Amino acid sequence: MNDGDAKLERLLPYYGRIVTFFTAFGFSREDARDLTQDVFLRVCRSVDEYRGDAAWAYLQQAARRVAINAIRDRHALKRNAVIESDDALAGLPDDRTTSPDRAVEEREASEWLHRAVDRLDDNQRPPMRLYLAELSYEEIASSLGLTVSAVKSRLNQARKRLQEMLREDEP
Amino acid sequence: MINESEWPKAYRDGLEDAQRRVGPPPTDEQLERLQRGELPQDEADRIRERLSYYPELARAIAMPFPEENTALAPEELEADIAALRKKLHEQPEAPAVFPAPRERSHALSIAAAILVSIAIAGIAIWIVRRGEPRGSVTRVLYADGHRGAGAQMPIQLSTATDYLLQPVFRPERPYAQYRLDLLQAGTASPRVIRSYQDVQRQANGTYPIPLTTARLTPGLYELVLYGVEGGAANRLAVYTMRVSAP
Repeated sequence: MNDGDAKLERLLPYYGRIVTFFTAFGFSREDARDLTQDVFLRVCRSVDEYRGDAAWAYLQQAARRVAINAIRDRHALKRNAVIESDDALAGLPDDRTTSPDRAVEEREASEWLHRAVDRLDDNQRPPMRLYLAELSYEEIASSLGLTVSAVKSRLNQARKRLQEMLREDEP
Repeated sequence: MINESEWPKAYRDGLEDAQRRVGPPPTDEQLERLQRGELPQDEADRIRERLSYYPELARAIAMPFPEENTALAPEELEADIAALRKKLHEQPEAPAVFPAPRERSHALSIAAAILVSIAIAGIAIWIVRRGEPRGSVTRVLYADGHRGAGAQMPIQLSTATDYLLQPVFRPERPYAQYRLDLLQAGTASPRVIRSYQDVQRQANGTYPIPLTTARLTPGLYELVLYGVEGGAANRLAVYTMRVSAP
């Protein structure tokens, strides 16, 4: 058994958990399986050595890195996507379920909220954006390098401020 | 106008527009330095601000791993693992050394075989005596800061060995050309001792180059990957290596 095989045997018990991890980011099951194969091949072919718990920690780190790159690629694709012309869209069936008035209201509400968040204090904006994107307190804290209590405190202030702005801006 | 329970949906609806407005997400290096607390306060705040527009990235950094597999059925898991084992053993095919055999007489074949054997034995003895490498060793390299826990040590290479180095890197955008410079590091003034121009990026994200360590003195070296465009070279990744006696 060579080095790569030995590493693979140690890591195989975690295979399904890594696939599950990728599916949490909206990747299709097939994409999640491909990404998982990529992670395992990288780790098994790497020169680094690790045993026991370190193997799982190493695998998690590799999976996060692959996830970040794949998400980054997905955003780059979106940014570079060709916008369909109105003519091309004209022939497609209209599958909207909301009325035009409601759609306008929703768009206005969304624009207002984004503008309002932009007006928050510097230290409140990043946690508030992630909170609105429905990350947990722990995820917000970990990704921004803050403590959970700092996140809660900043969110509390930001929420109050947004409520104030809402009252001020209401006709 | 809008109550708090509607905020998440309203926020999601306008998120793509906001992302287009602020530009691309932070780079891997910026994220890693942020996590390690290596950034000055003002830069850390700037990266946090940018990251907050990309909640999926923030989640990829922070989301706890699932406790169990809920994505794959047992037979799918088995199939994936079999495919993985197969891929792990796949190596690039060696190029053909000899031309296809032609019909010839039996005696001539024996004579030719003896001559070839003598020649191969002679070459083998010559190589062993010179201490020269006997084959090319493929090494996949991950950039400094991208090699995971416990991987701060340089990549280890042996002296007198032919390597096919495969540095891995995924640039944020494609460049017209790529270049790899090999520098002798660990000295007061690191110097470029070899430059590989117009390196081709492969579909698997690697930039393969041959390197023989026969003439390299043991010590620290850096392989630096550049993206080249319009006469400017952007430094993309560094792979620190140590050449040591076997």
